Amino acid sequence: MRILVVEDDADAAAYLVKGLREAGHSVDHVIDGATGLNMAENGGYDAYVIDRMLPQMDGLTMLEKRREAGDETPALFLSALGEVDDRVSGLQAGGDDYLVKPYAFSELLARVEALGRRRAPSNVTTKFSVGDLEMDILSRTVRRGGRKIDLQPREFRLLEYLMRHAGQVVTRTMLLENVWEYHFDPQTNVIDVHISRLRGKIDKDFDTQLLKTVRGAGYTLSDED
Amino acid sequence: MAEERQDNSRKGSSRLFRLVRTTSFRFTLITMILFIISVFVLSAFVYRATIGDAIGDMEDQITEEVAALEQVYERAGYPGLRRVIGLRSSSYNARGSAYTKDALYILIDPDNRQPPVRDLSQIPPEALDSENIVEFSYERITASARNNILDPDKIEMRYGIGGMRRMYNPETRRQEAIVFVARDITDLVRIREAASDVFVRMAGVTFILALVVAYFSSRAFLARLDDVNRTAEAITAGDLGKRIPLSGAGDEFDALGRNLNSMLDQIERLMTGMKQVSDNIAHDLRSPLTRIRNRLESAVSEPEIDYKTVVEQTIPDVDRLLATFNALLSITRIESGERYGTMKPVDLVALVEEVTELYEPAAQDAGFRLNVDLQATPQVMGSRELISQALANLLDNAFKYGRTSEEGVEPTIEVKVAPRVGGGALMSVSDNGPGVSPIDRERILNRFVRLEKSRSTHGSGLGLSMVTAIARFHNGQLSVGPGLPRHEDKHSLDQPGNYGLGIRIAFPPAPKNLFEMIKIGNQKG
Repeated sequence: MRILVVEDDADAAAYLVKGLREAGHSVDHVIDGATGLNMAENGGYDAYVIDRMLPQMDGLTMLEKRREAGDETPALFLSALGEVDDRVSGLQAGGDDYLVKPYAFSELLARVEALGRRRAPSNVTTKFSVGDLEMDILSRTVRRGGRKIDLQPREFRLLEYLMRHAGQVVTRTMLLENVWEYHFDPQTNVIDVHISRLRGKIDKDFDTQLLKTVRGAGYTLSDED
Repeated sequence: MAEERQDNSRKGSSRLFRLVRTTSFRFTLITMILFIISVFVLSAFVYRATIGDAIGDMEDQITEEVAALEQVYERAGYPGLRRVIGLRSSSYNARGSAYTKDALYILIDPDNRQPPVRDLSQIPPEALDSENIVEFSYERITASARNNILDPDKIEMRYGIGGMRRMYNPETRRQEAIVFVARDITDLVRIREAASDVFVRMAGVTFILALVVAYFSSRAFLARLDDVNRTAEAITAGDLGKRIPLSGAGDEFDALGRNLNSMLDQIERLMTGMKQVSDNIAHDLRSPLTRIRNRLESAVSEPEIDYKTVVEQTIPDVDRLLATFNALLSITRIESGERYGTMKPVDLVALVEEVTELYEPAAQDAGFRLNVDLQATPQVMGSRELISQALANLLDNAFKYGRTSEEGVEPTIEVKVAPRVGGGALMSVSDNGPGVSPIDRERILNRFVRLEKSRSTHGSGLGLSMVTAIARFHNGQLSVGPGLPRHEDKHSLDQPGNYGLGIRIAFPPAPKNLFEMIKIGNQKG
């Protein structure tokens, strides 16, 4: 993926750029909103990572201008402001995701990669498959190896999210935000338990484990090892 | 001594000056002045309708009479005029005038060929300049004083109006006569004078009264205001516990005092919270930081050490510190009440269903039975996110500390939603764990407080104080009390030790009109 990082904090940016490059992405970095806007106008990016508070032009304004110009490149806001209202204003400015500082790099990487995937027309797809696991959104059925698997509504949404992001790392916070729509961190490992329930239903009687734990980051649904 | 007195008098005058500058003083004064003006306007109106009209009528009579006398002169010449006026004049005609006795005439023949008519000693000088009707004053000797003309006390000052006309011989163009026709208006003038006198006195009395009323009302006003000022000064000087005294009269000053007091309460609460936080930061954050520092230091000094292991051990510590800071920030922001934009009608039953659904598997895994008791409840005004977080914190808490240690008793957590008597809703989380002694119940809501026995477990000690903040944000009431009975068989109310912990949030009823608005909005949509 080609990623534009707009971040004025030199240390944070160096860390971010290095990490994204190591993950195999091509990264351009600028330190203020005005330059960021110029770079973005040249086009060709798969995702923007924008700090909310920037010199000259703040991140919200920069993205608003791009959105007005019809640019639909997915964007992730980084911000020290993490309350509900702040998130709402970020999303209203055209942001697709919102990550509060300080964050773990694995969290950011997972979210940026999930954004890149969002561009693919997967939103209108109604059938997904990973290995021999198949999901039909319209009839709300899940089969593995031709055998029907019964899921609770929430389990279905959880699996749907994992299927839409198959092959990518999905963090616990991403699941909590997207499947349950909460933005706080429960101290109990509630998500892990839900995942292990789901795993019990889709992986238990099969040789290949599709729903894998990625240590220190989250989970991934994939049929590769 | 003298200096002091001077100082005192200066103080006195500055106090008076202050009094004069108060709103109530000015207001009273302005009201009174407006009152005086309106009385003046009213009096002017009444004057015009009565005395003014009467005088006006007389002026018309005089004008007409002068015109009539002119015609008499034209037809009958001076002698005719002399005869007609003589008949009308009271002084000339001893039997009294055919006209009223108030009618006064002067007729002068410039050549003095004929005797004049003089009801008045002379034509008033103000009438000589023009042919307009003028008001004048004259002296008349009263009937009893005819013998003593010089006695000034017997001379009566009287008032009249009159008009003068010079008559010319139509042929010779010589001036042959001067006629002055007047009416005595002394009675009207006396009434007018009395009225204006009353008006002036009334205005004066009103003004003095206004000054007095304004003085006293502003003094009362200032006294109440001084209470507020003194309190503010005391608080600025550092006495945060000071509050504005209320008179109990239930007036707007009491309302102001109450509002300011509740604002001060909030400020004091924040200050106390702040102080507590800094105390507790020293206590609770310093130790993990010290631990991290020691570990890093020993990693540097010891020659054969696996850095990776050290770093991996350190990251969770740092994460926990970050979580603590984030929680602190959130609490501060919730307590400062910044997020009113997120208040919406919330269906508590649906909210609790969602959160318990999220926690159910974890509860089962941890060996808890999660009972959910949901009764139909009116919606509350609030933030779904915050109330969910409060419930999540309470459940986290119950998982952590609510595990029963009794043999053969199933660890149970009960989440309950019920309507509140008198409107609003109740949400509670109870366990049948070891419970908290009544002495510690209030204390566990404070920041960073973890009871001694729980010091060893993980957790920031901020979960419950966040719940408190969220409850307060919703104008709700958080209470800590007994939870579920610890033993099914022997529960008695008088032994609090037989119960687990129960924490309850009472939400106030949502404002009615807002709900109506939302309902209407929904119907439209």
